[in-house]
Amino acid sequence: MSGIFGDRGDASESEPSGSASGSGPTWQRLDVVVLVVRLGLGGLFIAAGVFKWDDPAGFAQEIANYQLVPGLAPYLAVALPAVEVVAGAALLFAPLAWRAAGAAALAVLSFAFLVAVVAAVVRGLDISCGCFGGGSAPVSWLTVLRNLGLVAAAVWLVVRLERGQAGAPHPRRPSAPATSPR
Amino acid sequence: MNRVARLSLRTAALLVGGALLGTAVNAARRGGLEPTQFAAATSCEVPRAPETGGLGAIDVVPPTHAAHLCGDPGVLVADARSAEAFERGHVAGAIHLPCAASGDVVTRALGATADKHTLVVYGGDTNDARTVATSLRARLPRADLRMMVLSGGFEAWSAAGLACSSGPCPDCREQVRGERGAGGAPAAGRDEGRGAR
Repeated sequence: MSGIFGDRGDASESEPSGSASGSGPTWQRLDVVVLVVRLGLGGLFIAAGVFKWDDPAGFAQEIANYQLVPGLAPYLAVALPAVEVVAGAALLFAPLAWRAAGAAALAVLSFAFLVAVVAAVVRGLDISCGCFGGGSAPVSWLTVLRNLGLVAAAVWLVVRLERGQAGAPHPRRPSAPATSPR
Repeated sequence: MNRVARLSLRTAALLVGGALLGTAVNAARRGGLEPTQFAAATSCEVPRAPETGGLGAIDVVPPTHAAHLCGDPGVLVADARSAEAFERGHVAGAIHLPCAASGDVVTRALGATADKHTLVVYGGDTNDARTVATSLRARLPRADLRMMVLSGGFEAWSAAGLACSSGPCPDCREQVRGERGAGGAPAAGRDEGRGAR
């Protein structure tokens, strides 16, 4: 397992120590942004999963209130909190390749939540979001905007982490003059 | 295998693995959710089977019979109609519990039945209320709670000249706003003359 802060292409895994120093200030700033988004997104989904995990019956009711897949509500209520925690944990703690997969899983979840929330708002349903279990705020266009942000952040992370894994802008690549030895 | 395929496989593994973990934890947990037994409260989805397990049938009672119960503090009356219809007029003392009630409203309503021995549900007609009552029956597996549906719904109650009241419903303000936004006329005050006969 990599540490939370072993970021940007997981230099600790993919290159010898010391070579990351030549990545330049732009890449360092991007590294910080990636780290912040990773921490925020991963932490958010872990918290959401933990809050919901304790009351599957209540969460099943919240899902059923959306009136989209009432028959699947109890199964989703059992599975979704764990999926959120696993994907969030992968994004925070797993090796780089699995971090990108964690971000992709969160993108899939966020997109599914976005579709459900839009469907509820468009139909004028007066229901709780259920995003963090019982006591969540009612669904509104604000919820739609928030979910759009989550989808965008997760997709952006997938791209960044995949690039980091591929080493596309990597300082050790021959095409990167700043890091060419001698 | 190319990168996209690898990423897709890992993503699927996380999603499926998480779902299996959740299912396993729920199965191992004492008092975990039994998905086949779950019935959503007031979702207007009739539960698959009569899961009342000997808790008694849902009685359909005429308005005059239900009216005798109204003074009893152990009786709770629930209105399953829309927020606007509730505002126009409802059985005095009834709570609003429509099909699309939010989770919080449903939770509060279920909590309100804790010290009651009878729950009377009515809707626009008998079938509306029966759907909600059946769902609530499955959700409230209490042998000491008698469940009733008002025959003929609110129209029959009103036609019999029984006690009604009108006014806003604090729990369904947002819903009313939505209905008005969709072209409905303002409802408050329209039936003041009928109030609390």
